[in-house]
Amino acid sequence: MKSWGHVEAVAGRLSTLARQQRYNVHEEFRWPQSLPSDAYWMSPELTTCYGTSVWDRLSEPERLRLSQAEAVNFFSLNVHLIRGLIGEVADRIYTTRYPGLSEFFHDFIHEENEHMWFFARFCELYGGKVYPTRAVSSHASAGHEAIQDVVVFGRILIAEELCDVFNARMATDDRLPEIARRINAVHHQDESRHIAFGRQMMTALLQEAREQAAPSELEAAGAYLFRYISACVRSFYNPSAYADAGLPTPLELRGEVLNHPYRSTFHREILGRTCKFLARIGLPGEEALVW
Amino acid sequence: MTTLLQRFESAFRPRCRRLDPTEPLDLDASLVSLGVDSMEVVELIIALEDEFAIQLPQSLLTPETFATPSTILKALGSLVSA
Repeated sequence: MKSWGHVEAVAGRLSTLARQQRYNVHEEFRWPQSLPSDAYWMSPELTTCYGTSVWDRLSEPERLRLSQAEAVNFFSLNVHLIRGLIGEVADRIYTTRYPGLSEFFHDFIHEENEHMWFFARFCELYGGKVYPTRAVSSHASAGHEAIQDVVVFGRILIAEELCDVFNARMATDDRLPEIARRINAVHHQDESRHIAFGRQMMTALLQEAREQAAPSELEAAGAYLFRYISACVRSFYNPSAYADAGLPTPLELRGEVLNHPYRSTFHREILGRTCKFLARIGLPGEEALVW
Repeated sequence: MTTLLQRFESAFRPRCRRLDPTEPLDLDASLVSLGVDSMEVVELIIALEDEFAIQLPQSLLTPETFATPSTILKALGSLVSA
């Protein structure tokens, strides 16, 4: 069993590492005035139409435009995810519940704020906008505080691990412009620390929830998190991005690609590691997951 | 002829985790009481856009629009009849 003392010790080591690796975000990147229109901005294998009959029908210029719009969509999703998680972590800093984690939370918020800045800058410079979120805000869930935190830190971990798979692959993809590769690489490096913390945190929180909360509450939280995985994956399929890429009938296109069996296989592949971890620590509710 | 309400119900009901399939839909019940949480709302938006072949504008993606079935229907009505 992982104690809170263990989580605090890990967080302390990660904070030290974060401070040793700190960079000036305003000097870290060279921002060209524009990006080549005849290049992929996102690895084609990571676009939402890849592996489907839609991809087969697309011309090369359409594939390029799709990868460009989806690069902006992917970075926009990061902006919205980060905004939400900064709020949740800020709500927990200097509380009596996590007195030993406030230093780490400072570093976490600092880094996430900078990530949000470079993602949004890319979107605005090269896509002309940050795509709005399609999520409708809701009130925080009630219940035992350990359960609330399982949900909050579970959401953060899932979003970070999902985006990290994309970042890691695109960080070394020579087909992408340097600024796109660099953003993915820097984010991947910082997120490896956040993910290491998130896994320790979730292990400890789940243990606490099992000891203190009603089993039905934990079941509901687990099912919620597995449904959150499904919702995260679906948010990549944005009809506005398809329209911006000049693809016809974007709503029908979303339905066609979402229903293609290759996409389920791809979703399982990119989130397999996360699901295995959640199963290993005993989070219930995996049957709620829809690929 | 399928009405707006029937088409709405076909997309909405599968998202209601606290509504028995034989139970009539109370149009003024809160989405929370029907078992539709923020995660289900994302799925509902996709289902409604597919059913009505429309894209819900950002201005309608608010807690007020997704408060009850009747508030969603009102928003849909303004788009479908436009």
